[in-house]
Amino acid sequence: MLFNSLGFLLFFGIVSFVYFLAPTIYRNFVLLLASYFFYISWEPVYGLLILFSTAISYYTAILISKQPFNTRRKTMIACLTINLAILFFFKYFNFFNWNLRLLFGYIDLNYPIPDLMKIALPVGISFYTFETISYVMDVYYDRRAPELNFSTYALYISFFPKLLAGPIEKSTGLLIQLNTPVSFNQERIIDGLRRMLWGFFKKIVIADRLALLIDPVYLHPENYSGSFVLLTCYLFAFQIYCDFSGYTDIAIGTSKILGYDVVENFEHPYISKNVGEFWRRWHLSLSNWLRDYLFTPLIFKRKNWGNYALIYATFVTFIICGLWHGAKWTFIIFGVLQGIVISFELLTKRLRKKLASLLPLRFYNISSMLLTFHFIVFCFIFFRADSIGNVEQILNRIGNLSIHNNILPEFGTFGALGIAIVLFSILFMLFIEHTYTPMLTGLNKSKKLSYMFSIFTFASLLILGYFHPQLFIYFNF
Amino acid sequence: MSKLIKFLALTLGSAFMLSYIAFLLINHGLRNQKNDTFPVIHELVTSEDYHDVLFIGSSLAKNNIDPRVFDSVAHCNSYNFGYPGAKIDHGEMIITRYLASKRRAPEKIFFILEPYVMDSTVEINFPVQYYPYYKDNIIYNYVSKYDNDIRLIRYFPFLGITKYNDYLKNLGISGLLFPNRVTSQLIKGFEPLDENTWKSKEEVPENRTTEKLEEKASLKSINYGVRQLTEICKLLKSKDIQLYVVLPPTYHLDAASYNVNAFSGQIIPVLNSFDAILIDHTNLDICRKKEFFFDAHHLNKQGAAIYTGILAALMFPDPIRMK
Repeated sequence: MLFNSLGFLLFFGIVSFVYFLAPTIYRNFVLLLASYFFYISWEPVYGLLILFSTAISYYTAILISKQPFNTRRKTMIACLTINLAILFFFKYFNFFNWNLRLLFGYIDLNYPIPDLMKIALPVGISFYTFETISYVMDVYYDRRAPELNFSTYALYISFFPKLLAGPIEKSTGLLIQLNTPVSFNQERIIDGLRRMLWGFFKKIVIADRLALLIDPVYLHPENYSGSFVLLTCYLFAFQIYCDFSGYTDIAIGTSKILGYDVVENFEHPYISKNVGEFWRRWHLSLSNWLRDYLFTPLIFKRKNWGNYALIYATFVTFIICGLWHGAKWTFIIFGVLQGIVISFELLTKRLRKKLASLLPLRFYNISSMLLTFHFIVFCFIFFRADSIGNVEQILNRIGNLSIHNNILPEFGTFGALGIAIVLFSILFMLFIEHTYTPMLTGLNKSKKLSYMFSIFTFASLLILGYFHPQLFIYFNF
Repeated sequence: MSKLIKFLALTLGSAFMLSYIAFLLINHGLRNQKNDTFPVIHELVTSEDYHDVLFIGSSLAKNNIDPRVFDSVAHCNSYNFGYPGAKIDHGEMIITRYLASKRRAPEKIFFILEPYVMDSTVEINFPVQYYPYYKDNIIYNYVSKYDNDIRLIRYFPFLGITKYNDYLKNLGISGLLFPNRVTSQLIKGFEPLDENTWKSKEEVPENRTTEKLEEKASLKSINYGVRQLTEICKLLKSKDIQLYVVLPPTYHLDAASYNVNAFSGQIIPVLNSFDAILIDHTNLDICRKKEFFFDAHHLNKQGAAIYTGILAALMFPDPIRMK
C-alpha cells in the first residue's frame, strides 16, 4: 500500500475514524492492528519478521534492566547480533558473498558458498532494525526504563506512518508519547492534513514527474548528450529531496492527525555551507542515530587517539551510512566520499575560519553553499547509479560536455509543459519552504494564508500531478 | 468539529472546482485538436458531414487506406475511421455512433479485419483519448467495458484532469490556444507512414520460423469477435448498408502472423448469412514488394496510395454507380 495511492487514503480515513471513535484505552490497539495490516499488505510473511524482531528486543530490554550494569553487556550484544544478523541476511548476504567469491577467484581458490535465492528485501527493515537497536541501547545505558507493555512497544516499532521509510524514531521520543492518551484536536488535524498535502505535492507533482526524465538517462546514459546528463544529475538532487521529504511530510502529517509528533527529517539541506552541516539538515533522524549510537561511542572508545579518532569515527560512520542505504559498492563510495570531505572539514576548521574572516561574509557563505551543493550533486551520482559501471558511463558522458549542444529535443515526450510544470513547482516549493519553513509552521500565523495555501496546493496537485503511483526511493533501503 | 469541517469544505470544494474547470478547458482543447486521433473522434461525434463510404478497423485501416485516393477513383466521399489498436467493439461503436448522428447513413462500410481486431483478450488502446467525450453515451458504454476510470470521471468529473498525462494536457492547451494549428499528416482519418523505414532484421518475415508462425496462428480467442461481427452484420443489414470485410495485404502471405484460411473459415459463414462480402487481399501482387511496406503488416505512404487505388478500382470499376 503506497502512501501516494487511493488505497492508502481510504485505509487512513477508516483507521482515523475508528481510532477516534474507540475508547482511549483501545486506541493504541487499533493503531497496532492497522500498522500490522499496513505492513503485511506488502508481504504477509514479513509481518512475522518484524514481530520476531520486536519480541526479541522487547524481552532483551526487560532482561537487561534486571541485570547489573557490568553483566548486561553480553545480553545487549546478543540482541544486537540477532537483529543485525536478520538485516544482514536479507540485505547484505548476497553482496558480501559475491565479493568474497570474486576475491577467492582472484587467488584461484574454490569458494563453496552459493548465493541465496533472490529474496525480496522486507520493506522498512533498515528503519525498524535501527529503532530496535536504539531502544535496546537506551535501556542498556539506563537512558530509559524498558517498556513493559508489549503492544505499546510493538506499536512504537511498527507505527505505520514511519514504518516504511522513517523518520527513525528514538525510544525517548515516540515511545513516551504512545503512553500518553490522545484527544481529538481539530487544529492538529488541520495541521496534519496540510502537511500531508504538501508531501503529496512534492512527491506527485515534482518527484514522480522528474523520475520520468531522470530514470531513462541513468538506464541508458549513452543515448544522451553530456549537457543533458549533467542537467539530470542536478535535477536528481531535487527529485530525491522531494521524494524523501515528501514521504516524511506525509508521515509527519498522518502522525499529527493521530495525535503524535514524529521527528523532523529535513531542514533546508541545500543551503548547507559544508558537508557536515548538510548531514545536520538531511535525513536528520538517521544522522542523529548514527551520531548517538555509532559516532560518539567510537570517539569515546578511541579518545586517546586525538584527531585520528575523529577521522576514524567519521569514516566508519559514513561507510556504515552508505551501506545502510544498500548493498552496493556505489553506496560504499558515497559514504567514503562523505567521510573524506567531512574529515577534511574537521581538520581544516581553523584554517577555514581564518579564510572566512579575510573574505566578505556573504561571498564566503554563498561560495561555500554552492561548493557544498555541487559536491552533494556529484555524490548523488553514486547514490542513484545502479553500479560502478553506470557511474563511469554517467561521468564519461558529462566529460564529453558540449555547450553548443541543443538539449531541448532530448526532453522528448516530457515536453515543454513538463519542463514548465517542474520549474514552476520547484520554485513554488523553494519559496514556500524558505518563507514558512519546511514544517510550514509559518502558515499558522494567518488563517487566510493557510486556506489559500491548502487550496492552491491541492488544486495544483490535482491539475499538475503525475498520477501513476511510483515507489518512494527510500523504500528500497 | 466546525473548524475541521470548514477547512475540509473550503479546501476540497475550491480545489475540486478549479480542477473541474481545468478538465473542461483541456477537454475543449482536445476536441479542437487537429492532431493525433482527436480529429477522428471529433468527426464521428460532432460533425454532420455525409460520407458514402466508411473504413473501420485498426491501424491496418488507418495507415493502409487513403480516402483521397479512394474518392478520386470511385468518385465518392469516404472517411477513414481506423484507430490504432482498435478491436471489433470499436468498429461496432463507430458504426452505432455514426448512425446515431443526424447525417444520412453511409452506402458501404469496409471493415479491415485481422485476428488481432477480433481478439477480445487484448485491452483497448489508450482509452484516455475518449475522455473528452465521456458524456456521449455510446462512447461511454464502449470505453467503460474496458476502462474503469471513465466511470470515475462520469461520477466525479473533477478528478478527470488527474487522468491526463502531460502529453494530453499539452495537446489540450495547444488545441485551446491554437485551434487551427495542424502539425500531423492526418487527412480524412488516414495517417501515412514513412517510406524506407523497414526496421531491424528480426521483423523481416523471412527470418520467422514455422514454429513461431504456428504459435501466432492461434485463433482460440476470436469467438467473442465472431459474435460481435454477427451483431455488426445484423445491424448493417437492417439499415441496408453493404458491409465488406477486407483481409488487408501482408508482406509475403506465407509469413503472415495468422492462418488466413482458418481465419476466413470462421467468419465466412457469418458474412454469408447477412450478405456481407469477404475480400481477401492477403495475396495481392503488392504483398511481394517490400518497398511498399512500413513493416510486415503496415503499408507505407506509397503502398497505401497504390493499394487504396487497387481496392477502389476492384470494388467500383464503374464509378457512376456511386452517388
